[in-house]
Amino acid sequence: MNVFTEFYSFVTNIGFEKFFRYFYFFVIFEFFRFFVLELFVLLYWVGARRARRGAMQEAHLELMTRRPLVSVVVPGKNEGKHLFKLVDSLRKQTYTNLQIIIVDDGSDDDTPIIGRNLERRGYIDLFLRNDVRGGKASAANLALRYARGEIIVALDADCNYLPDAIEKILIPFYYDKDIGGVGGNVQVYNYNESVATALQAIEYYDTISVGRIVSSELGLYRVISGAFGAFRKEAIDKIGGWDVGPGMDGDISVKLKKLGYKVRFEPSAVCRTNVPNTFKKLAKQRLRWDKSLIRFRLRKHMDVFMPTRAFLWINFFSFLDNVLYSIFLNFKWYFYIGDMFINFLSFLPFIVVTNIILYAIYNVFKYLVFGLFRLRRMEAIIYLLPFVPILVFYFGYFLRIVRTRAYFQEFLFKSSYDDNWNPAKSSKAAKALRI
Amino acid sequence: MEMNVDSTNSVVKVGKISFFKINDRIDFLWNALMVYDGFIIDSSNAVFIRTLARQIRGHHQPEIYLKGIFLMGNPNLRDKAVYSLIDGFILANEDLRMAANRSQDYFLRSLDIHASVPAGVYGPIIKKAFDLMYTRQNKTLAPIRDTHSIIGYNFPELSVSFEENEEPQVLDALDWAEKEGLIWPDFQERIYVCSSCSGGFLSFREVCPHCKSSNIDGEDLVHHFPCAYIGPVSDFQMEDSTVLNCPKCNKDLHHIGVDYDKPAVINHCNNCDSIFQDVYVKAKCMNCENDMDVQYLKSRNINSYKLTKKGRLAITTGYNMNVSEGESDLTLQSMDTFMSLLRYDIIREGRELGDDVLTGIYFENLNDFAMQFGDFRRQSLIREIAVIVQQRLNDLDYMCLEQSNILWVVIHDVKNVEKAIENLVKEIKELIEQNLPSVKLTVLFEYNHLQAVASAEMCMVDIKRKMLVE
Repeated sequence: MNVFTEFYSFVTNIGFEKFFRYFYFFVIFEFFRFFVLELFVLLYWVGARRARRGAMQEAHLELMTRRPLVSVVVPGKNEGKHLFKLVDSLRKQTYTNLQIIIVDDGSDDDTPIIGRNLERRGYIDLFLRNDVRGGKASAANLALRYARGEIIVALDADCNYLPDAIEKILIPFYYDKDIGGVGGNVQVYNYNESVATALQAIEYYDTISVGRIVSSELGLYRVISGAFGAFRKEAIDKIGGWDVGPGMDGDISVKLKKLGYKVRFEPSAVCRTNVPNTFKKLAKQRLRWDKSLIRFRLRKHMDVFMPTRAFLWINFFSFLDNVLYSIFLNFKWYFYIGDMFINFLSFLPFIVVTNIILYAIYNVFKYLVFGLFRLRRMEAIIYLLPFVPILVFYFGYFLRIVRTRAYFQEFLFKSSYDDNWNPAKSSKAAKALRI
Repeated sequence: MEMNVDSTNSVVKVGKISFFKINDRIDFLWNALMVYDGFIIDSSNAVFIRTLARQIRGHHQPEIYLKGIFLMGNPNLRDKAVYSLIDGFILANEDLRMAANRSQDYFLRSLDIHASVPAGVYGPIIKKAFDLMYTRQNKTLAPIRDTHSIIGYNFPELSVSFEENEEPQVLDALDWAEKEGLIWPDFQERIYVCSSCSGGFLSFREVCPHCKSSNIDGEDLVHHFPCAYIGPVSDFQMEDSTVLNCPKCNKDLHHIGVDYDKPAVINHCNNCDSIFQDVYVKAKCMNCENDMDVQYLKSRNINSYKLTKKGRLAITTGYNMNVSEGESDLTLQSMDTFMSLLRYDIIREGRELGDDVLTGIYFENLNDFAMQFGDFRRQSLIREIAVIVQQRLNDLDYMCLEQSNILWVVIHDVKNVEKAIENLVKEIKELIEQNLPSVKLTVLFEYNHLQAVASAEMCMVDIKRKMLVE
């Protein structure tokens, strides 16, 4: 009997009980949590959005009638080459009462010349420069210090924004006065550049677009993207702006929630960003992101789990969901592999192959079903479809290995403080204060 | 010189030399002063001394402006310009001998000065300055710093001819003289002057880029490392403490570079309430109150100037600058007329394929001749040379003299140009040898066919290059 016949026999004779035993990880943690539950919430969201339509229209009317000043803050280092394009996309925005502040965090390229030129021409309101680099948080805080708008919109210079992006991200603030922050919908601009960018584009659909619609609807939304986020000035002033990064976008969202503000995701406010185009660059980015999860969720904001005066159940569940699915399940997967290795060694190759096929079919199915809820051009959706079956290697192996490495580095060595994304002086000071 | 001092009221005589003594109580008529050999200013009033010295040196008559000025006593003037205008101090009777000697010397040297005046609006002023330099044997026109001058600098020999607020014209006059080849500049300083009135007293101010008000305050930005708060230092200052305290995390700031730094400066406009880092720099003219961006200021070089060989010669032999020698019976054209005719010929030649040439004849040591025999003889020589050339020309041919030593000739329809010009030069040399056997005049020549040239100017430059360089 050759291997294919054996494999066929394994699949056809597996039965329900054995199927669950061999693939419980997929069934419980993937299929149930990330498909069934999300599908239910998405269906609920469609109905809820329809129900909110009238109130949202009123909020829109209030926004466009009152036209409050909105401050757009753009912190960055060596971003000069992106500035003209960014400013051009801001000048095409449908919401026009903007105060645009660009902060150059100690660039060593032509950014100061370009920024000053934009300021002199009146294309932006204020160009500020720190001659000495202080990190992205301090650059954003400098802009915040001189922002006069009622709402602060924080952007990344290397992104571009659909013409109605700012208008759309502002509406929720006038729909619910308790909303302190709104995250925009970040999509991948260079999705057709490489396999790495295509896989990230699908991931962004899944976790950032659909995943955040679900978490926002459940009140569990916890990371307002640094590339496109909006904050009520009064709220961001209360929390003192951004703290030392990396992971400052997730941190600020948690700080807002701890003060009782709601944080929401707005899928129609679309921003497009360029993602790392090689797996090496991607691994570096994800190491930073994953380390910040440990640093902020399990260290700095551990008090969310404590019964203090500021305790809120919604924050508790949000964190629990985050810690459970990002950290616990990451290690649980290794436990699952070990379980299979010890108990079903003779079937292990079949279990692995079946898992891969299962995930590939599941991903294609989910991609098509969830496609009904996505806001993206059909051209991009069709382009990305052939990459969906190999997503299993991206999620299941590449990202998992990177994540595991990041968790160990952060748990054991607190290596996020050594990341040169932030200047050493700030990281050292933050480490000394354990923040 | 015999020392025989005879002082009567306002006149001091030292031998045959007489001085008119002027103080701030005396009235006089300028014309009456011409008879004296020099002037003694007897006053300690700095303003009076300066005014009088300027009036004497600024007078239009050489019989006044070339006379010696001596100062009785030494009032210890702070005004350096005055020291450049006077010729000495009389502290004791013995100094009168020195004054008399100098005055006599000035007079004798003034006899060498040629009466001609350079053409052009600045000609008389330049001549006065050159005359003074010659009689005082000064070789340099040097600027001195002077707060009375609206450009901050003063050229004493020239500035006396202008009001103090007309000082920028002194620079124009010097530029003109430099262009004419009379003086040679030596860079001293560059100044920036008002684009409107050329005044040099400018108030430079940092102003708000939005409302242009100078009512702005600058502050250091302070970055607190642990919490990433950043703001102006006033955010960190407390009323009751000198220690900086972070408004975000409420921690005290201790060591710059360790827990905080100052990465930049920020400015606030008290007039329009705007925030900015880059200030504008504006310059307000204290003379005409014009407030301008610094990029619109005019820059002027302040040079010291030395007389060129041409300038030195011009003082004693007269000023001949790119113009006809003024002899109407000669066919010498003015430079402007010559150039116009030449341009016309070049255009015509381009259409008709004629055989016209522009010839340059260079008299290499004509200026030395003038120094040896005087300007009159030089002019006579030029006249004779021009006559010889004219005899060889047709009615349509024409010529002009440039810088007194290059004769430009346009000859129409010449067959053997090389031979024709060689004959011409030979006759010129013969003329000089016959009449002035001691003079060895070097004559060089070059020519260009007008058919082959792009422009009159290019053609002349090409000929000059071939004659003088190659």
